[in-house]
Amino acid sequence: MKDLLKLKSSLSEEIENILNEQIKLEAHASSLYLSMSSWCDDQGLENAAEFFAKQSDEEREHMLKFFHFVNDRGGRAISPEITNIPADFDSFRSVFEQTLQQEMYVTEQINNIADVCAKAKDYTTFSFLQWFLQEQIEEEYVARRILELFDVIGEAGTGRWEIDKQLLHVSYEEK
Amino acid sequence: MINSGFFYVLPYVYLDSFLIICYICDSSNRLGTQMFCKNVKLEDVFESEYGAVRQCNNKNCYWLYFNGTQTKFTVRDLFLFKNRVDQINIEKMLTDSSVSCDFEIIMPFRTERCFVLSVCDIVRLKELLKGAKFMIELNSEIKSCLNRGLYIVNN
Repeated sequence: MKDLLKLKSSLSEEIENILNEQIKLEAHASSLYLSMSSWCDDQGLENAAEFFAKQSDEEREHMLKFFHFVNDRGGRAISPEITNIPADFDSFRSVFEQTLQQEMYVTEQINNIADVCAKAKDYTTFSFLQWFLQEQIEEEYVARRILELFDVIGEAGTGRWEIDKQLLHVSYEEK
Repeated sequence: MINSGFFYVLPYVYLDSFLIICYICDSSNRLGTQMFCKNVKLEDVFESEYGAVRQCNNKNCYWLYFNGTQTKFTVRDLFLFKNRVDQINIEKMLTDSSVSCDFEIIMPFRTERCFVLSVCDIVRLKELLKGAKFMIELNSEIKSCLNRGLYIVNN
């Protein structure tokens, strides 16, 4: 009997579903960062607003990478519904704490997908995920470094202004 | 005269033929697909007391035979239909006394079928689709294993 399942898609149902979950997660991160950008802008933290706007664009690019991958492999990518995006945040520091938590969660999820792919012997998807795992090193590093600025500079006086100025210089270079 | 008459008539003959061909093509798209699949041997995927799912290797589709109806699905649409049937809350249907909860209506995309299902129908359809999905996945898995085996033997 002809294998119509493989003729239609090279992705198993399980992997297609978890990739669609990841699309949703990336879309959620993009919306969250856009909301953070707006909040920072409202607080007069211009550079932080710019930083988060850029992060939001990056997350959307990640989402689209997953999206096109699912479709290219014969699956059906689902445009996600995003809800529960906070519009307000406790403090400047808490915004970056939440960013780090978000990035750590994303890394964990990509690791989980890689694990499922390895078990299912889907090495094409496994190899596709390597770029994201590498990217996550940078995302976590930048968020951690910026959080450290809060300890190094301190928020008192013109501290917030200084942190806002310095955070644009934080970047990751692979050694 | 004859020649000129012939040339007057010719476009209309062509036009008529063209319209007839269009009609045949159109009707085969709308109605004839089922007939088209009937001309080829369908392979049994899964059969229960209440219905069957068969595969058409010519059109790469599945036929669901249930409650005296035949419905054509692509592999993806069949799985989507299964998910839709699986999501029906049977417990709610049984406990809710309102008339609207006696039946569930499902109109799968890309079919001209409207399924009006009682609780019994849903249980039977669930069993049928579950079995069919299992057999489709099993076939795919066996094919993969055989291909892997072939690779190992050749190397």
